[in-house]
Amino acid sequence: MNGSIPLANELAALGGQGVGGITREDASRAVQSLAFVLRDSVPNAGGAGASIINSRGRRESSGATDPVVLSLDKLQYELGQGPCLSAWAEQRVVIIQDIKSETRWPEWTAAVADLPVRSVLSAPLTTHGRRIGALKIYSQAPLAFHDETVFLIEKLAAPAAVLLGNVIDREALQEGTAQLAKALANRDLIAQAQGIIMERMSLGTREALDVLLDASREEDKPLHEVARDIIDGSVGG
Amino acid sequence: MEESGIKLRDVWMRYFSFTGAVGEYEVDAYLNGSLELPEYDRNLVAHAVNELIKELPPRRLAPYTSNGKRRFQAKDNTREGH
Repeated sequence: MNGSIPLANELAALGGQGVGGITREDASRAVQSLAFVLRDSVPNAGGAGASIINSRGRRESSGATDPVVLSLDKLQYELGQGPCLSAWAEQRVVIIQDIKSETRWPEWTAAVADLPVRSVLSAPLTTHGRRIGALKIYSQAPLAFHDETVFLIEKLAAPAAVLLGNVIDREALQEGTAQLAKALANRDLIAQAQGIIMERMSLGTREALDVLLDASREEDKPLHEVARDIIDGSVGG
Repeated sequence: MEESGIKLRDVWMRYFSFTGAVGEYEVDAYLNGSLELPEYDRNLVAHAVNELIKELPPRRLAPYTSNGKRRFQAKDNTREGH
């Protein structure tokens, strides 16, 4: 039994070693790479795509090998129906053997009728019960995908989901860290301004903060800006 | 709050930056109505939510079609069209 996964190196590269990456870019690159791995690994595949879908069913990142895939995708999310959404929602592989005789997802199949697509296969990307998203491949020929394709896709989807999950976690951690750093900096500013007001107006901590809150409401300025103004003002004199 | 997509984590972070001392878990419980907070903290939470609301992108209005009519010029009648 052949245990090796095609293009294993490319898959591993999805995990990546991003160094201080900008948010969203790592995930975008990962799904883009995955799209190409899929197309190149699956016999008869004309094009492929992969999407990261959040818990509300909203697409967060998408990778595609060509504009046809982008259209197939975009219309699904606009219409709220389609093979990838079903694969993700129902957590199982979905195959369209011939879109011309497909009765499921009537609005979507109508909308994509002019595209050079006859077969579609979509599979969920899930790791440890955590729904990451979905992947898809299409072909211009009907009946292009078989049981072997499904088997292959499932073998690819498993490690791809793990790696994508790592990318998502890393990005979330970076965002969370940046957010916390900013919150700490602002807290510092506000505490400083609070101290200045306490001294200037002989107030307690809570009363001083109330002064800042009132100013924030009256001047329609965020609290940290009010604090900044007070600190800057007091440095001058 | 849910409607506008404002997340609890963001509310708590903002509240925390205001020198709020109550934990995220408690703020969550308060917002869900299962815990009472002192007035002082309630005000800070409200201020946090309001700041976040003001930072939301503006709602898009439905576009009007311009059907080729000239705009009404109330003052300057010498100007051509618009």
